[in-house]
Amino acid sequence: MTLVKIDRGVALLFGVAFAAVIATGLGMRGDAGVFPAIAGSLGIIACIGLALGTLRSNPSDEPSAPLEVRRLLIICLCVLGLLVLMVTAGTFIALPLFLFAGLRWLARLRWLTSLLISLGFTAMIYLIFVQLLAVPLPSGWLTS
Amino acid sequence: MFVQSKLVKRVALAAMATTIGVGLAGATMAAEYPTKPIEVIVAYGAGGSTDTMARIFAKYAEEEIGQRMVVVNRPGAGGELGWVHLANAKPDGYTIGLINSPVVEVYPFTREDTVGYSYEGIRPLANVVTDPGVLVVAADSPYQDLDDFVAAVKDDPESIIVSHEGVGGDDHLAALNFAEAADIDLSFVAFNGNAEATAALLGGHITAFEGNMSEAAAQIQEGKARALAVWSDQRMEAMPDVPTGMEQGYEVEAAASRGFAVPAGVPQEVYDKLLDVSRAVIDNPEFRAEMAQLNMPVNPIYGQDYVDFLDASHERLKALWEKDPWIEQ
Amino acid sequence: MDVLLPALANVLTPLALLTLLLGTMAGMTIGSLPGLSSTMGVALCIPITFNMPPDLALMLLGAVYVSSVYGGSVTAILLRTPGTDASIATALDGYPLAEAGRGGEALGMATLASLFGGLFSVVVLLVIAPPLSTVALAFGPQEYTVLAIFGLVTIVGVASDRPIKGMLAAAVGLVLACVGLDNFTGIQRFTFGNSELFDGVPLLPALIGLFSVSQAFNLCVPTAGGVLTGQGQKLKGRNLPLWRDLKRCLRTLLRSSVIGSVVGILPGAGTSIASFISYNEARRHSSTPERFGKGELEGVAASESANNAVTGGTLIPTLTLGIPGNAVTAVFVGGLTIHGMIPGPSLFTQHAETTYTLIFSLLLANVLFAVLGLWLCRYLVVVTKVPGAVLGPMILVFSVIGTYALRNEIFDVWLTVAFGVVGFFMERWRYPAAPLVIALILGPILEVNFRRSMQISHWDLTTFFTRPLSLTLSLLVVAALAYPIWNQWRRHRAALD
Repeated sequence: MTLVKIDRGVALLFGVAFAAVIATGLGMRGDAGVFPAIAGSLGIIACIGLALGTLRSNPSDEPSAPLEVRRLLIICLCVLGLLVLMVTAGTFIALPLFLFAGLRWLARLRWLTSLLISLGFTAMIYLIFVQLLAVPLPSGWLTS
Repeated sequence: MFVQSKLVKRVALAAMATTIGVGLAGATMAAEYPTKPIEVIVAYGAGGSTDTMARIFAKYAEEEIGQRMVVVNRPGAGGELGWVHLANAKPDGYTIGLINSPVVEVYPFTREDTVGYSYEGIRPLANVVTDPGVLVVAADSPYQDLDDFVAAVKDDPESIIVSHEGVGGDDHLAALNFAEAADIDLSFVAFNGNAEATAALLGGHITAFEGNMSEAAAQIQEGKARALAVWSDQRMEAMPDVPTGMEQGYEVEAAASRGFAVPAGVPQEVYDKLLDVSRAVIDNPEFRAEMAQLNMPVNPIYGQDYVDFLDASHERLKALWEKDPWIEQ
Repeated sequence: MDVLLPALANVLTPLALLTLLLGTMAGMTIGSLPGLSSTMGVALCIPITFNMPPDLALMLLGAVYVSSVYGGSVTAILLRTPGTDASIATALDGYPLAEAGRGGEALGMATLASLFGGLFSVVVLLVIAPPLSTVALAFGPQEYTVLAIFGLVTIVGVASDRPIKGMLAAAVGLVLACVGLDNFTGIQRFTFGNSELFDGVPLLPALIGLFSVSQAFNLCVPTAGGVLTGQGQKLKGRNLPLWRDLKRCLRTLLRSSVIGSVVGILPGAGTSIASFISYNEARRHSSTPERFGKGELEGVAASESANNAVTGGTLIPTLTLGIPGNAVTAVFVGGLTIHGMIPGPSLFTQHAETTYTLIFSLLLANVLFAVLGLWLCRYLVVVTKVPGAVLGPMILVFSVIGTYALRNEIFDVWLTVAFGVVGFFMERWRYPAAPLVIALILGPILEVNFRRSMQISHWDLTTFFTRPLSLTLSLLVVAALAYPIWNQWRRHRAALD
């Protein structure tokens, strides 16, 4: 997909969104809608400008490197897993697993190195956030 | 309304069921309560007046209860997020929280469609501080008492600007209460916090500031601002020269009360233990001295009396809301 | 005078020095971690100070405050992961410098600029606090409105390469700034019933998502992500900026320190306005404005001296009027009152010794973080040699834990990640993220003050031009907007001749 097509899509999508914002704003009671309406109008102007700009395409405006979809998916899945595990299993089960996965599959470190780094880093987080700052991180299975 | 009452009934049933269930299981456990640190949920940010009170209370309570009391700030949505966490916490006595009246009892009807906790899901324990509302003007203001002020508003309603900390908050409710008693219409401006509003008052950008006594007392004691009235039934120790609204013929009583509560369904033994701890802390002269220094008037109300106190306020404000909602839907 | 010497002696006791050192180190660490703001750092220290004598307690809080503002610059420069909104402008030029292997130099400049701004504002606090505190009162809603616009002008400069995309991003930021429970009418705007959004889109999760999380994705996703500094090129040795560069930046340092101190005094403004305005002014006065945003030391100097000058500024109304200058000093007030000191003029009479002790300790804390910072520079830059795919997951962990710690809300963490994905694609598709964040920060300040002005003046738009102070500020805004255009036209004509 070229940037021109993306820009057109963005202009269309956000143009509609901004129109909705203006419509909602105008329906608000009192002066609550003034600011949303102004912001939405600015947005619509920007969208029109963007759409017009795509008509004279600029070939130098292409993405620098192709997107590595597989690696992006891996990291997204890892983050998803981190968040889900954090609230269910607990922060200090989720963190080392996430770090290990990231270091092993994305950085391609040897598994022993990955393991050591992830455990060490988790210990550091535990010291800073739990011991020093007393942040009540979700503890999940570790408590009950 | 029908849906609402059905929901309340269901919540009440659920609460009862858990009370019985937990009560049976907890009977033995409660004897040695507490065996681990207790989490204290503060529904406002660190450093604010509620947070300061909670931390000082926790310091004294730790000595009484023999366990750490960990203050956890869960601010958001004017306290609502913290109370959602409190109401949803495991009712084992290891999570308690602060509730702020009148906001805690008004959200369930002013935010009926979206509110995340039910009034019945929180069991009040003990009120600690009742911080009365005050109407404050700058020291160089021409208005000496409420009558001056009311006369000026009647004369030129547009020139008098009163600040509050957000529509539907306790300051706004107090000011509305006063406007009703004096039969006037006030022009309001909302400020995000006491610091900005105080600066605007002292700088002459607004006419009056409606806030709580603890927020305004320092400026009043310094002689930079003057309170026209305190919305309580008697004069306050921190500013004995300030007359009450009632003395001046305006039947207005408004205050922000801060106290402790537990999730509904906490075993009775645990509740009683926490009640004893609260009594001991509130009776501690050192605690009293610290509260006096912060200009926070201690107003102990315990157990069922506290429940009745909140219920009365809940009923009164709900009736007011149904008659004339202060937030138009 | 008779309190100054004992106050100085209080600061120089071994115990006091140790407290300051620990406070400074804690502050630097807190500041450099995403999500851990100065406010949180100070708030977390308050319980520790319960059992300390008031002198030491205030020293600890003060040291944590000033050094945490500085600490934010380290990660902003080296990793483009500003921990708080105060360091966004620092990252704009600091990170390109780090990418070019000049991270050490940028850190050195940030440290010296922070020291300069910090010392400047503490001296101002020490010498002319009471008269200056009236500035806090002179600013009404009208002035705040214009000031917010002044800050928003920065967007024009930041997005000058892609004005339309910048405008789109800013508009999105302004719309997001409207989300939440409206304090003026009590209605909900764009919250879709989520009580987590009643206070608006939380700023730090948005900021950390758009900058830190998207940067972590940038580092992880490309296979060749290898090393942050373009394939392991040698770090350019210097850890201190050249004397020549420092001299060049002197005017910027002074200007930014003045802006920072004044903005700090204003309770409704906030640190980031100071660094944005200073950054924009530095760019406007520069002879090479086109180098800003691509690695200009002067940009780092402007932002860092301004945000550290704010620290002293915020304490001016706090100590003299009892009106905290920002969220951090509001927490500070909590700390003061716990120790029986009610902020206000009595601090300079009844508690003069303790107050001057605090001020001297701030001076010392500024020097301490600068010494520590300069010494650590050379070790910290090594971070830029670590493979990106190793750094990425670690940045993600800090971002996730940090945003959770803000208000213990898992919703905020999801929001952070969502903003991270958005930020990643914005960067790929050449939409600048900074305008969005600047609009999100300044939008609410602009809106509430605009509406307050309208309520006070009963919808009279001339109110912004009939008050001397807001008129002056308005003229400054016009100048800031018109100058680049005029400059371009002049150059264009010179080129023609």
